[in-house]
Amino acid sequence: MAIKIEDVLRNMKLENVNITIGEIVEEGKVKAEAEERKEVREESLPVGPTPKPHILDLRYWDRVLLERFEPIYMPMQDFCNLCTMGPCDLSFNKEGACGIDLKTQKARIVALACSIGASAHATHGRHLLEEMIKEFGEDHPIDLGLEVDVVAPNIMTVFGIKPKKLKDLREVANYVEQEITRVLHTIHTGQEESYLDYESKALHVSMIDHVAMELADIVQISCLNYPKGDPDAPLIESGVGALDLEKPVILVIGHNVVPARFIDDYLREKDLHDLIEIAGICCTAIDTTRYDAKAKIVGTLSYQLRIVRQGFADLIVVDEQCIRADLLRECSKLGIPLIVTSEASVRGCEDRTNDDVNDIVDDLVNGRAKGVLIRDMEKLAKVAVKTAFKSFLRRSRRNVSVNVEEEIKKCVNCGRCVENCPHSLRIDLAFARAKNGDFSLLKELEETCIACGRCEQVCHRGVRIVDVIVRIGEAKRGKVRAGRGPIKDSEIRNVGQPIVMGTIPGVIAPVGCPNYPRARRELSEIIEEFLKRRYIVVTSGCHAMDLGIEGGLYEKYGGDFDAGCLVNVGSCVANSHISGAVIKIANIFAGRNLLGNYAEIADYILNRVGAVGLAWGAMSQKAASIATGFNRLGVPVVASPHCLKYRRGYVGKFWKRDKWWVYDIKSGQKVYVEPCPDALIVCAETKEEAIVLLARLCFRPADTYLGRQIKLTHYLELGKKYLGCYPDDWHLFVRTEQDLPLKMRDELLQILEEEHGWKIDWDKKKILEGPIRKYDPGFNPTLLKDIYEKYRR
Amino acid sequence: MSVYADVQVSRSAKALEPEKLAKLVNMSKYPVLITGGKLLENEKLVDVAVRINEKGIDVIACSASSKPLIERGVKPKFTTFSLHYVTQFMLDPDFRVEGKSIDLAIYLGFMPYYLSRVLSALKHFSKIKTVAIEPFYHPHASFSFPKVKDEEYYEMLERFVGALEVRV
Amino acid sequence: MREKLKLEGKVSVGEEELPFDVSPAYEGERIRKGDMFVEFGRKKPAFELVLAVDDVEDMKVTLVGKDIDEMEEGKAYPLAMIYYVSGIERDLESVLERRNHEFMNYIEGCMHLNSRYEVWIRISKGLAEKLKSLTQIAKAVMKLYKSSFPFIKGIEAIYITDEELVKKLLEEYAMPIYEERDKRIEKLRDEDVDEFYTCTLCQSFAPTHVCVISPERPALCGALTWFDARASAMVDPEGPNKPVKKGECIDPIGGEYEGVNEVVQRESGGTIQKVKLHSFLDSPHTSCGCFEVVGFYIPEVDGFGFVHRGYDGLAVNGLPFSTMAGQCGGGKQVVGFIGIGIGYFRSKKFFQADGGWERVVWMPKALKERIINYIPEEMRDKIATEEDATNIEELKEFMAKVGHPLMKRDVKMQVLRYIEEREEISAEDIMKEFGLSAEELKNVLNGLVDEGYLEREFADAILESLEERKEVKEREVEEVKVEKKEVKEAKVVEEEAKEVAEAKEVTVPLGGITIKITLKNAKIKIDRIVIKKS
Repeated sequence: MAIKIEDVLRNMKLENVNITIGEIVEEGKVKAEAEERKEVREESLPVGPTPKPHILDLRYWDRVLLERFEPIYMPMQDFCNLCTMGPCDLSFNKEGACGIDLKTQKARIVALACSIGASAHATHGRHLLEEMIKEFGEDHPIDLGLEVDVVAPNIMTVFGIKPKKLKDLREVANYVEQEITRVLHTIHTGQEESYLDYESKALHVSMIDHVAMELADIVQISCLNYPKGDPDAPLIESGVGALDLEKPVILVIGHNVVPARFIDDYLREKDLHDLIEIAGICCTAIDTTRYDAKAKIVGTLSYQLRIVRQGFADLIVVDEQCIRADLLRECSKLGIPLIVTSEASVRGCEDRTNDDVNDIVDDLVNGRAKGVLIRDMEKLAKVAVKTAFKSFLRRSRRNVSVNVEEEIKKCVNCGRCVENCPHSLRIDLAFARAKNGDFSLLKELEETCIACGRCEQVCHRGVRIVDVIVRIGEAKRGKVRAGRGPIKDSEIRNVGQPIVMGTIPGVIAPVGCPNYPRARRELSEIIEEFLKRRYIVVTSGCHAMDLGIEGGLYEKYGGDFDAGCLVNVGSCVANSHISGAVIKIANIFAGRNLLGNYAEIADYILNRVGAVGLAWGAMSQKAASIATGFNRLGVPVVASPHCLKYRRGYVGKFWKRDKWWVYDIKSGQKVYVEPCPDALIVCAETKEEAIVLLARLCFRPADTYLGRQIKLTHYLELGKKYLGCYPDDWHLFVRTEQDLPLKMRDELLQILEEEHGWKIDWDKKKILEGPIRKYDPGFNPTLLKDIYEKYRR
Repeated sequence: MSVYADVQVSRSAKALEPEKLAKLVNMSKYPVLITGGKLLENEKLVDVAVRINEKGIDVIACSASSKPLIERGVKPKFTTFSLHYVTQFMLDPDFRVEGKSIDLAIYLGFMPYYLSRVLSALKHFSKIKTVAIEPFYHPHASFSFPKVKDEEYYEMLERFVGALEVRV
Repeated sequence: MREKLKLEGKVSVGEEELPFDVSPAYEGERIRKGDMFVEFGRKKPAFELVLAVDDVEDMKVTLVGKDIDEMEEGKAYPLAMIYYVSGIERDLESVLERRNHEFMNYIEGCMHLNSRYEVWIRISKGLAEKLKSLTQIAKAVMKLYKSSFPFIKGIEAIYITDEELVKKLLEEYAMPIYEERDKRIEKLRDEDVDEFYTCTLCQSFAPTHVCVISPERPALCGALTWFDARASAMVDPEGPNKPVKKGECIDPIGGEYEGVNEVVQRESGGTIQKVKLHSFLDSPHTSCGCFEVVGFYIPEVDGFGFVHRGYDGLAVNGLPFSTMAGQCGGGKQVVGFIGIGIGYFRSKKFFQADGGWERVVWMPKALKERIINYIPEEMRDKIATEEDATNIEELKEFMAKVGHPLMKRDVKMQVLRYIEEREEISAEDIMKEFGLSAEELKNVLNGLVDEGYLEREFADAILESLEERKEVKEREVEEVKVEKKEVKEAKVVEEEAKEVAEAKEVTVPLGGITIKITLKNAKIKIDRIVIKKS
């Protein structure tokens, strides 16, 4: 007979049995205790001199920067038209009616542009923060994975706290919004008198921009399960050619992931995910694919008009920033329904938030409503999906046919389109040749054309130029690695030794918009030159998309933060991870405290970290604030020729020797150094020039001799390759014969002797006289007197 | 009307005949030729630059235009600095090229919107005379070619170079 | 100094214009099978060797066997690369030898992997077209050697592609040299040399940190051994690696030297006063940020744990690598955390000031596997990994189970404290309190006596009371043990029951019987119940 366990247990007797239980906890608490241990240690982290800096608190640092990286102004307007006392002719630096002079007026416009840029990210960040708090609760932790301990370097350095939960970010968002308002206020008539002070405001608000971006991105990574520093983040199908046009296509354009996310969730919930294509243009594409790797990236913002005009988008949903201001008109022409979701971009649409789903769908599909505003995201998802299916059935009704030959015949070669084209593309010539059957120039144009439509605006014959150009091009297809967010602390530690031992020459960061000066693939050509040379490349935004779609680089190069690898941090707000990474270096290697210690950290970065940004197509105000934010941190940026239109560069004069000095904490002296970097934001005209400039801006005073050797090797080789000779100033970066590249050492010593009059000991192959200073491995440079005094005992 | 310069222009460049432009150059103390990226695409512009240099005018090569020039035997005074840098240098009255102070700059081979910004800066903040010998009218230059197309442009360049005197 | 081999072959002397490009830009170049012309090594024997000799014929290359023009595309060939260098000492041979890899990779179209006798080299089709002879490759490398190490008086190379000869030389010539070198590295102690070397390369990022490299303590970034630093100091005495005279040895166990202290005081601007090279807890060596492994002190067991960079989980103390690493970088001297290189695990003086391997309690499995050969055999099973313990409680259990040396030490101290705190003590109380058997208690007490903590008479008195109780105990033992087992099984929630006591088999007659389980006099202590959300 079997023995029943229940019987046994029932009959179990406990006699004199003492049971003590320590505690009963839920799973999370175990981790929480470890967190507590962390917390205790962190509460004792010291706070530096400038937490939550006021506009004037870091002005002294700005003055140090502006002293050597002198602003250069290239006015777009000779006049100021801002107030009713104008228009004022400020040419030749005259003063206007309010007393402002041309330089100061230009600096004022720059501060305005940076404020606009910062406000974009501030709003985006606040929106995400409040949404996520509503959904996940304010105690939801900020978590970027186990290998990222310094989760919010910008917030820590500027604001002065280490945020742990979503609610901690509220005060950060308050501070950001406050500072933007403060800076905006200073742009009012009758404020600053010196362009240096407006530059300081621009630098300040741009620093705030990086804080805002970081806030936005760490919120979305922590809540929406984005990749957390994963070097093997999935490769996303990208490009027009990657779309499955047999399915309905929902196209999302803009920057905020929220609308696309709700649509995506709804599709999964209803098991419709495989039946619809969700594809995106611009940053919302990047963030949507961080959320769902099956979504697709169509392309950068210069693809908007191309895609709309081709008519295969069955529904377009937009949020904010960088969206064409004629989108509703263009969609209406083809009967493509449009849904707007952001207060920033309502486009005259009626607010249908409180209406019945099916009514809205009906109106959209039947064209009674060209576009609608829906502010309830769950309703949006339902409307979007239903509309997309129905609109898909009507796709064939959209009149997208263009008779290319007819259009080409219409052209009379007047050249007005050329004058109105932002790139002065020779559309007239291209059409003329095409008339004779030669489409080669048109094909070339297509590679550069940003499909802005300005040509059509001035064509008297109504030629559908954009449509023709678009149909000449091929549907691109490629893979873009999903934005992985932060650089892991361990990756930073990993590259420390190779950098000081000269096997990694530097970090190049191509970021920003796609207003390239020439063909799109030029960007990939520039970057591949550096990838092959074992630089680390970090990218974001539209640049990140084109490196994949045009260049196919993600499939050729790994995704670690390491030599010869390509890291996509994500959308524009993910740029904060790039600034965050350089900040982390100061903390991880030198143990510098981050909290509220901006100037010391920026000073450290400027003197040591060989990183350069590349904005080869910057277009917007956000790009201005992002670049200027990098500048305040000590990171230089090389920009495209169009960027002269930002009106202001920070360009130093290498030949003014007395501008290039540091305090050396080690020897206790003021030392004259090689001028590196010698500009914070400077433009190049051609890709060849840009390549040499990027290599040049990687030098830093604190380079080890091995690091200097590898940097010089590339600088010299690239000079020979692209300029036809060794660069003009290479000798300035030689401190000791050890700095000279091995294989060229003899040749270079010869040149130093013959062309620059240096004294060489040929027996020992040593340099006796000539360099600006000698090499000392313990060299510990700083530009700030108080930092010097702090560390010098 | 061109798009790369605004409507409210305080002073517009004088569009002169090439011979007159050449005369200005001949009269200046230390003129330089500054070359741009179009030299990488257009061999004819390289020819023109070489011939101007042969007349004894120093060349500052920007945008990597130094490569074709060096291949043709020209020794530019600068090869590495972009027009942005060079303009910043020129705006400083202390700037010297081998001890000499630039009083006139001739521009050849730049993207129109790029050059226009630079000329604007020099117009407002410097006394240096600027001469643009591009196929576009550059309103911010001191003196400029008018807007011309292709064949006419090369003719004008020919006339300009021909009228330059050899400098000692 | 070594003797040169005398071999006949194709000879080329002197510098020549090389038909290929040489630059660090080609370092990462990968040559795929489809692009390769020939490869050396892997399927065929190959090795590289740098030897110090008295005289050489400078820039002479002798090629024995087929040259490139006699080789077939797509095939694998053997290759021996022997470089004779004059002007260096024998200790620097391996330092220079390692650079062959780097220099060959600088050659456009040439890829070099691994080292010593595991080398694998590929020549691309493009390079093969330009090459007149393999001697040109040797020349490029020799030139780089001379530029890198100006104290080289001369350098001569022999390249061999004859299979028989390569095999023979590998066995009879090369292998003994590699073995001899390894032995020398193993044998060389801190005591055997007069000077250590500093490395200040990282000061470019961490201005107050200096690494002191001794034969038994390599650099924490993993890049430099004492030999490497020595070579670098010879190349540039004013450079980042400078010799440091040891001076007086203040503490031989901890590894504290007068000369080292001076250097550290100077470089850190006075922040750090002294450094003990082989101590974890007392004046530990500082680190910048690029150490390969972080060591952490676990107070609950008075032991050390280690985590390697790249481990993406939590260590046994609930903290990830990045958090702990953040505690000890930046040139700070922090007690409780320390950054080290993987090479230090190999050191015979591994943290000897604190008890060395006997203090090590935990490390990730991946790290343990990598350094398994350096761990003393008797400790190998006693160090827990994440598979054995993921928190302190589990760690303690594991340590008790495997009899970790610390447990004994730890228990001894605790017993001592227990005794000291009480007026009246009985052996039974102690055994109950610490879960010790009679035998174990005897060992603990004897140990305490041996170490001088306890008086002999006192210990004997406790042990006497043990004898009396022993008989009584033995009878109760069976029952007690059975009870214990049942309780333990009921405890199972998510993991296997850990056997604390073994029960004898109990046979139960079949048929018509109920089983009654009575738990008597059992003390069940549960520290924590963790409820997992599903």
